[in-house]
Amino acid sequence: MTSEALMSKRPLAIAVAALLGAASCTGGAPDSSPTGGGDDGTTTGSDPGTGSDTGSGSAGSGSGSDTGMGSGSPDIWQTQLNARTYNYPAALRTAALRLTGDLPTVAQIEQLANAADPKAVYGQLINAMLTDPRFTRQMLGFWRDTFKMGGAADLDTAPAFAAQLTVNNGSSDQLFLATTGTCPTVANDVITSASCTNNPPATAGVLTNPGAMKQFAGNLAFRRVRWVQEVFDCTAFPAEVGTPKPVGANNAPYTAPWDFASIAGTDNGGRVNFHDTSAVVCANCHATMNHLAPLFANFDANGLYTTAIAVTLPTDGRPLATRADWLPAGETTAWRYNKPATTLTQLGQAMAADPQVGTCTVARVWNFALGKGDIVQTLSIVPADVIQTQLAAFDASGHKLRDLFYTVFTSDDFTKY
Amino acid sequence: MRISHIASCLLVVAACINGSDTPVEIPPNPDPPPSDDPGLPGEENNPAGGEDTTFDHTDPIDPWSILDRILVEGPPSYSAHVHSCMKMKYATLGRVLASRGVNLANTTATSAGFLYTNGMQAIGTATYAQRQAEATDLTTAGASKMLDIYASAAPEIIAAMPNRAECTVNGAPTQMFDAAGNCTARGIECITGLPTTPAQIELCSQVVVSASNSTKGRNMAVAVTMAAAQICE
Repeated sequence: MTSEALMSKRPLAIAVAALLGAASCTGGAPDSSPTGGGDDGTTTGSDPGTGSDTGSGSAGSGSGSDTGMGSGSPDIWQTQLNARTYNYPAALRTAALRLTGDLPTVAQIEQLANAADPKAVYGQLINAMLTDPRFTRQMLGFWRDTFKMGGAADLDTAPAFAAQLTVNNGSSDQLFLATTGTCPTVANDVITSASCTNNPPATAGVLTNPGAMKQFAGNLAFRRVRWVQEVFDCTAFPAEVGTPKPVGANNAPYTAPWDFASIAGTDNGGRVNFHDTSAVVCANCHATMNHLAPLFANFDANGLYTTAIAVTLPTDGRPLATRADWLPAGETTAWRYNKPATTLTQLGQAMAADPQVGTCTVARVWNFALGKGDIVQTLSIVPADVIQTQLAAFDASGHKLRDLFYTVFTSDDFTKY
Repeated sequence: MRISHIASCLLVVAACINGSDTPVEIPPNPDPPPSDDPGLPGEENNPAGGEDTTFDHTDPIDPWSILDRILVEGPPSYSAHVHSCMKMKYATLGRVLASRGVNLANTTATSAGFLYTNGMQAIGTATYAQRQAEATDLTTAGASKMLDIYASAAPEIIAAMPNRAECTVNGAPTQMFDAAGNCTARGIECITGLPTTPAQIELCSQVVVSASNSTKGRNMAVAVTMAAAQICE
C-alpha cells in the first residue's frame, strides 16, 4: 500500500486500525485482567451475570492472526466481559468520587450492603448524588476539563453554563442554541445566571462565549474551529471523509466531499495555499475548517465580537485575514457539506440537529464515568454499540444532561466489575 | 508483512499529526523559489518540510503510547465497557483527606496538608492556560506522593474518625481500631469507601502488629489501606 493510499483515510482511524492490528499480532494481553475496579476484592453485588447490554458483537474483532503469531481467540474479550458481576458497592464508591468528589459515607455503604434490593437502593443513592450541592462543583470540573478552560472568571463562564444545564437537567442542545444566560458566574461553587457581554449579533450558546473565543484565539480562527470540532464532535480533523479523488500535479488523494476549489488557495484569491498537495493534501482537513472558521473570525483575542474580521494570518506582519483567505467569492460557511450555516445561530442549529454531536456528548459522559481520558486526545474511543442504550435514552429525553448521567452511572457496564 | 504494514501506518500517522493548528511562520511569498527555502534534503517546496515554509501542526497524540495502552487494556470494543484505573483527581484527594479529618491548611513541613498543597505538580492538575485538562493517568511520582500523604495523614485520620459524620452510623462513632488494637470493619469502610471483608480486617491488623511499635503499626495500616483503595479513583 502506498503512503498516498494510506493518507486517503482519516489518519487517526488508520492509527487505531494499525494499533489494533499490532495488538492482535503480538498476542496482546488477552489473558490479562480487565483494568480497574474490584480493587477491594469484593463481589458483593446481586444477581451476577444477568446483565444483557454489555455484549458487543464486535468484541475481539481483529484479534487472532493469519500469520500464526497471535495467541488469542476472537471471543477472549467477550469472555472477560461476560465474567463480570454486579458490584454495587464498588460502583457506589466510584460514583461518589465522580459525582460528589468524596467517598460515600459509612452509613451509605452499609445501607447498600444491607439492602434487599441493592440495585434499587443504588439507583436511589445515585439520584441523591445528582441533586447534592456537591454535584454542581463536580460538573464544573467535568466541563472545565471537557472544554479545557476555566479557573478564571472570564474563562469559567462556558463551563459554568454547561454545568448549570447539567445540574438543572437542561438539554445539551442549549449549548448551541441558548440566546440568554450563557455567561453565568461562579462563586464558591455556586453558579449564578448571567448573560454574556461580548456583543455578538446573536448569542448561540457557548459558540459565542467570550471566554472560549479568548482561550482558543489564534491565526485564522482555526484553533476555535478545532475546539468546536473536538469537544462537540469527538474527532480530530478531517471531519468529513468521502471517496478519494486525485488532485494536484501529483494526483494526490483528496477525500473531503467538498469541491476542491470550494476553499481558498493562492490560485483563487487566498494568501495561504490550502490547495497545496505536495506533502499532504491540506484540503482534506481545511475543506471543512475553512467553511467554519469565518464564523468565528470577528471575535478578537479577548473574545469580544467586532464588526470586522479580527484574526490574523500567520504571515510576516500578521495582517488581518480577509474572507478570501478561507473561501473564494460566493462560497458560504457551513457546519458540514450540504449543511450551510451563514451565522453562528445557524451553526448552533445545525450542530444541535447533528446526531454525531449527541453521540459525542454521551461518549464524553461515558468516558468520565468509566475513568477514561479525553476521547480525542487519548483516542479513548467508545464504539457506538457500547453506548447504544444510553444514546437511545438521551435522544428520547430531548438530550437532558442530568438524566444522561443517571443513565450512565446506573448502566450495567458501570455497575459490573 | 503485517508488521511492515503497521510500521507504514504509524509513520504516515506520525507525519500527518506532526504539526499544530497554529501556523507560526511562513515566508512573505507563499510560493518561494527553492533557492530561498531549501527545507530538508528532498523536500524542496514541501509545505510540511523546512521550518520557513511549514505550518506547525503539533498534536499531543503519540501512536506508541496508544499502542502501549491497547496492549494492556485491550481493544476499544472491550476496554470501553470496563472501568479504568483513573488517577484520583487532585481536588478529590483533598476533599477525601479533609472529610476524614486532615487539616489541609497545615504548613508544618512533613504534615499531610503541606505535602498535599505542595504536591500539586507530582500528582497532576489541569493546566488550562495551556488548554490541558487534568490528566487521568497515574504516574509513579503521583502514586509515591499519595502514599507519602496518606502516611503523614494517618495520625490525624485515626484521631478524627470518631468525630467525623462521614464515618458515623446511627449516631455511633467509628473507631479505626478496637480495644485489642485490631482494625475495625467500619474503620476500614470509612477510609476506603467500600464494605470490609474479614480478610481485609485481618490484613490490616497484621500490619499493626508487624511494626516496631503499635503507633507506627496503626499509622502504617491506615496509610497502606488508603493507598491500596484510593490511588485509583
